[in-house]
Formats: sequence, C-alpha cells, structure tokens
Amino acid sequence: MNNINELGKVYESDVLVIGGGFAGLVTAIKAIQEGPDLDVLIVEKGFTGFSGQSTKAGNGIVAHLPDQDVMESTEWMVKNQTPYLNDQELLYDYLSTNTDSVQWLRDYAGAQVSENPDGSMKMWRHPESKLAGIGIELRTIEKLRKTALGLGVRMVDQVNIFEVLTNNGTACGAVGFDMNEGEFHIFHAKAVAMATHGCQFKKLGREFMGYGTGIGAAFRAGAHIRNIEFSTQIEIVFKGTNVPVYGGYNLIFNQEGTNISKIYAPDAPEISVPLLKGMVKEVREGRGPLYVDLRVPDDTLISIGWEGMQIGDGRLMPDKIEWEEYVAEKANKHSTLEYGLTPEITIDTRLQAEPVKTNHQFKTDVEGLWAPGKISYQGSAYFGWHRGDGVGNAVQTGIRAGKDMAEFAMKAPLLDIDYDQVVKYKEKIYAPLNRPTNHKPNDIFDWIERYGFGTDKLIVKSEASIKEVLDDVKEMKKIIPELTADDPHTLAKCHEAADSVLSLEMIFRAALERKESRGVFYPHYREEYPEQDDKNWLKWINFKMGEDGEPEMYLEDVPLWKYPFRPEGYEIPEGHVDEWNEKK
Amino acid sequence: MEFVYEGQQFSVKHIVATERCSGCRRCIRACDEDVWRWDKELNCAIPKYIGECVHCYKCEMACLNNCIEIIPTAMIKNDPLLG
Repeated sequence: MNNINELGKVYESDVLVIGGGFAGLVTAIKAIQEGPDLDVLIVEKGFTGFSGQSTKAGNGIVAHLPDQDVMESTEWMVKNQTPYLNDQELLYDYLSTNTDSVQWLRDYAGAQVSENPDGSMKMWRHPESKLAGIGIELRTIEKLRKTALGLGVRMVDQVNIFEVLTNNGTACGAVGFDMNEGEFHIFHAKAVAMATHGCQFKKLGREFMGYGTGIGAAFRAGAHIRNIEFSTQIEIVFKGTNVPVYGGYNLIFNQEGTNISKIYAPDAPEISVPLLKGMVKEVREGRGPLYVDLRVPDDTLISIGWEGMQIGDGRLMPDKIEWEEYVAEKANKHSTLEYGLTPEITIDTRLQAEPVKTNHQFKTDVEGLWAPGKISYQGSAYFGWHRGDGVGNAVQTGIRAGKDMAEFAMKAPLLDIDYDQVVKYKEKIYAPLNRPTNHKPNDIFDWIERYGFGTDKLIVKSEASIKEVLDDVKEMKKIIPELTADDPHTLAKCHEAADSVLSLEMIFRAALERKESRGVFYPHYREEYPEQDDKNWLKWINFKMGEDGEPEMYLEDVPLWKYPFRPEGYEIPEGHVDEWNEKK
Repeated sequence: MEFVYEGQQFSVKHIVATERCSGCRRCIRACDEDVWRWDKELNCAIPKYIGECVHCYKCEMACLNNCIEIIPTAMIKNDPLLG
C-alpha cells in the first residue's frame, strides 16, 4: 500500500482554511465557534494575521444607520453598480446583516471601531447609496489571530498552496510547499476554504494582493467561474506618487481651468468610462496635463463620499491615518512633481479577477469547497461592493462560510486522499524547478502589466484589442511550460504566472462574448457596444473546466423573475413565473 | 547596503543598515509579498526579492532599529493617458 507520508509532510484537520488574511481568520473562528470540537487549521503563504489586503486597505465597513432602509440600499446597489447582474437575494441578505457583522468583530475580536461618546458605533451617512460607513482599526486582523489561537485554531505559516485535492469530485485537502525550504506539504480535511484573494496580475502599489493561484486551484478542482469580465477597476492617482485620489473623480480639471468631471460624467457615482474617455480626449487635444483641485474642501470631502466627515473625527482610525500619512510623506518626499493643492493626476488601471462562483453560504460548485473573501466578489454576484468595505466583505463572507463549513464537517466523513493525484500534483508543482530553459515568471507579469500603459485593452475594449490579448494568451501559454525557477519564491511565481494567464484568458473570452457595456465601479466596456443592453445581456457568463482542462464557457439567465428590481421593459422568459410578486 | 529594482513602470531602492539589524525579522513578517529573507551569511534580513516591493513601507515602519529606508525612484514611467 502506498504511504502518503512518504510524499510530504501530512496534516489532518476537520476544517482547512487556505489563507490567513481577514476572511480566512473569520472563517476559521466562526467554524470553531459553531463546532468547538472541530479541528480547524489555517495555512498561509506569509504570516497569519499579518497578511492580505486588510493590513492596509481595511479602513472601514459599510453598514446601515437605524433610519436607512435595506430595501432602498439594495435598490441603489442594483441600479448603480453593475446594474441588474446581482444575485439580489444574496445582496439583500448581505446588506441586512452588515451592521451585525461589525458587532461580531467587536464582540469576538475586540475590534476598535468609530464610537460615539456613549460607546455606540458611530456611522457616517453616504450621500447617495443609503448606506453608512463605520471606521475600524487596521490591527483588527492581528486581534483576530489572537482570538483564533485562543479558540484552538492551528496555524501553519509560510506554506503556499497550489492545488486542491479531491475524492470523486469532493474536496478533501490541498497541497503546496514551504516558502523557505521548498518542502512538500499535504493537507487532509473534511471541508476546505479557499480564502486566498483573487488575481491581481501585477503589483497595484501599496496593497498585498493575490496572483490567481487560489482561483486556479479551485477551478481545477471543479469550481465554476462567474462575472469575470467585470474585473477592471480604475483609480485616479497623483502622477508624482501613484497614490489614489479617493473621490477625485469629481474634481478633475484641464489646463483651461474647466472641471471636466462635470462635462463627461456629471452624474456618475464613481470614476466611469465616459469620464476616462474624456480625460484621454482632453490630453490628446492638448488641454493636459490634468489636475485635481483640492482647494475646495467641501467638494473634496463630499467626493470622498461620507457626509459630515472631517479628517481626524474618527472615520479613519489612528493606525490607518498613521500609515496613510507615512506613505504620503514618503511618496511626496521622493516625488519628482510639485504636489501642492492642484497636483497633476493620471489613472491607474487595476485588473482584479475575483470570480469564483458561490452560493449564499460562499460554497463553490465543488462539494466540500468554499470561497470566502475577495476571491468570490464577482463570482458570488452580490455586487454590493462599495469603497471602504473590504473588511465588510471579509467578515460577512467568512461568517457565512465558517458556519456552513462547520455544519458540513460535523457530519461529513474524512474522505481518503487519492495517492495518484498527490503524486501527479507534486510532479506538476516542482516541474519548473531547475528546468533548463530561460523564461522567468516576470516575462509574463511584465507582459500583462504593459496592457495598463494605455486604455484600449483594459478599459475601452474593442473586438480588435480583445483579440490581440487572446492572441497574446496563446503565446503566453507556450511560454508557461518553459518557465524556470531555482528557489521556492520563484517556483511560486511560476505557478502564479500560469494561473494569472488562466484568469486573463477567461476575462478576455468573457469580454469578447459580452456585446454591450455595463457597470461603473468594475466596468465592462465595449467600444462597438457602448450601451447597456438589457434585452440581450441580463446574463451571467460562466466558465467551468472542460474535459480538455481548458475553460468552457456557458451562459445563464439572471433569474430576475425571483428578484424585486428589474429594468424597465423586462419580460419574464418563457418557462418561468413572477416568483417575487407571487411570494408577496 | 543598497538594493535596487528597475521595473518597466516602477523603480525602487532599499537602503538597509545591515550592521544595525537586530534580527527581529519583523520586516519578513510584515511583508506578504515575500520581499524580505534572512541572510545567514550577512546575519541580517535583506530585500532579496525587491522586485516584489509594493512600496507600502510596512517593513520600514515595523523595523525595530530603523534600519530600512525605501526610496521610490520612479512611480509611473508610462502614463496611460498618453499611451
């Protein structure tokens, strides 16, 4: 009989959480709270409690003031973010519990949030969305680590995971290697959470990101992908420092002193493609460089988006302000451009694939596999993203996944590991090591980064520009089997490059398929089809792994017949009834 | 000791006072991008994979002995509005 222990170091647990960032920690804590006898283990490529986006970007949570109506905020989200592509049931559910999730963090992690003098949570009203924001300290994640350890959650740090193990299609573990010595590690569990973040391709600047290996591993285990074409995020940034001008979309001026935000996108609640196209036009016609005018404090604060907010009044917690000020001081000190109150700006395009398809408990299409956190932001289709809600997403998705995983793990048996599968994955994972070739993973990352040096491939897409990228993908796929590494760090990068190309291919195949334009915060825009087409495109574009191992696309009607908010003129497709109104 | 990365969009220089490194390894823990590694020969932490730096300064802020200075030498070499 083959002994799995001969292949690597084996760990057994009931619940395995891959990723020790905010979402992974919440998932683990919730799982052990629900099932105190469960053995819960977190495996993290860096250090649990010090990793992930919330260590820097976690500056708030979205919630509701007592007078704010969840149905109204749901409607605002449905109509203003990625119109009508939401899973409205999940969105409503999510928004109904967002204030409770902040309380959960206060109760179980001792999280410091913005407070009124009487100790109650202090919230700031958003002028448009019918939502409110609460400040939360960055070090909450370190407190979650302590909470988890106190509850008996085990942690394995500096082990990077690249594949999910399955037994007849059910997840039963994962494999990867130690980032220091490169030793092979095998994790065996009843329930697995992929809390790894999504795929951000090349560095975005300042934040810790994922490079697609979680998406790739979930996909190969059988998880489906959804809404991956909505992966573009655009930021207005100070040109001298590449630091985002949050809210700056309202304050962009050309060299004639005209506020061009008001010309190209007077009503958009975020930076939009029409504004971006206007910015490019202004520069090309000689009215650049563009700048933001920060001399109007009221407009600036409204643009940031929270009514009644003043710097230093508690919306941003002291540790967040300390870090922001540190970054700004350093960036300004070394900037080659004059800063002042009218700094020159440009854009930074960020490609963020977070597409693992889940249900309302953030379980994937694979039995035994969940995907809490940002890895499933687009894939869960709640589309309730809002600035300042990364931590909100992590805690809400972690609570749901952790509870569901505990219930599953308390009943499910520990399935056997398929020895041959482990052998196959081990060979695949180490294959690039000392390969006698010349291609380095950065060849791929640099290639993808160059798409962001213009606007035609990532933002204003056309059939021609999409096909150009898909042709590049074919070339990249020829390079991937030639990637070589000589240490664990670079070996990890080889797999990140391969899985980045997988996500890139799905983004552009979906973008080619979707012949319309839709969405503001994460827009999909096609030059030939600039309008939102509700007649033909109230559909989700999904992928699953085909028999050849390649992504196979399938389309699905958004079940608006079940939901309260529908576009004007919407007709229920044949074979369905108006479930929402019948329920009422 | 100076470490330099010249990227196609972003460049950075890390100046590390290796002789003052106390061995706390907080820089290694603070960086999720795996920039920092312990160098057994030098007996200090160094930014071995400086090309992964996202210029967040978390390592610089975490360093117990103020040994780290990060200098962004170019932030946006290719302006997308001109591309």
